[in-house]
Amino acid sequence: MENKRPKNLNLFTIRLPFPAMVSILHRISGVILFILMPLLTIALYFSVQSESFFLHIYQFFYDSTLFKAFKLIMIWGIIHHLIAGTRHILLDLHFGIDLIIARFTSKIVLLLSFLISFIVWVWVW
Amino acid sequence: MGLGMVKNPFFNIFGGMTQWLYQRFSALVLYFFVAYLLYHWLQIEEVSYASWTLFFGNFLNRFTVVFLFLVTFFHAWIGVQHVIEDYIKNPLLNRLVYYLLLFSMILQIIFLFLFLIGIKFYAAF
Repeated sequence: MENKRPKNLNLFTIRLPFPAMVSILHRISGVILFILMPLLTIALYFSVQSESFFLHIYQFFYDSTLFKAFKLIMIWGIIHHLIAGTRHILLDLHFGIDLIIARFTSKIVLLLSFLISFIVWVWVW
Repeated sequence: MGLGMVKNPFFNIFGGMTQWLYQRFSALVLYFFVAYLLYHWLQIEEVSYASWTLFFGNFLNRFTVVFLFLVTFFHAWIGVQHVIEDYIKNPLLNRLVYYLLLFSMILQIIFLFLFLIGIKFYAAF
């Protein structure tokens, strides 16, 4: 059966509500963290193999500009994923499911995750 | 979740209980991962190969880190599968990305296992 309903695929006319923004950023941060995971696991393995490996990895993690970008994204990813995930678990437990409260907490999550990320960014820079 | 959306042995092992619940319970374990990393991060005074290998020379420390990484993979793999199912409509590309990420994860788990039992590949370096 053919579907004759009109489609609106112009994304610029669709405004994403704050709770949806938290939700999609939760997904995006999760995917980013999964993709960056090999950096941590492989580095962990090689870091104990020899002192020269350790020093290379240490330099990469602390001095390289490339990793600095990864580090900032990773820090935001972990913090956002954690705070947004906590909100989603609380929603699952029926805390704060009234629309007004849910909208309010979604703004809090966005703000808080950015603020904490910013503090940690400054700390590790 | 629709019927038959995700069919694979990974979840069949754990019976028909919902992935939804697994993801939330693994999320709770991951709070400890974050707390664990934060605790040790705040204690770092100086990072050297000697202090690094002293810490990971202890089997219990290695086990804790590997266990928490495995829980992370368990948690992440549920989410990643849903993201792949939701956004990659081309069946071929869908499978390609699926197996690429699965391969990446299995490779990392092998590295984590070698790290745990302390096998050295590159002792000569």
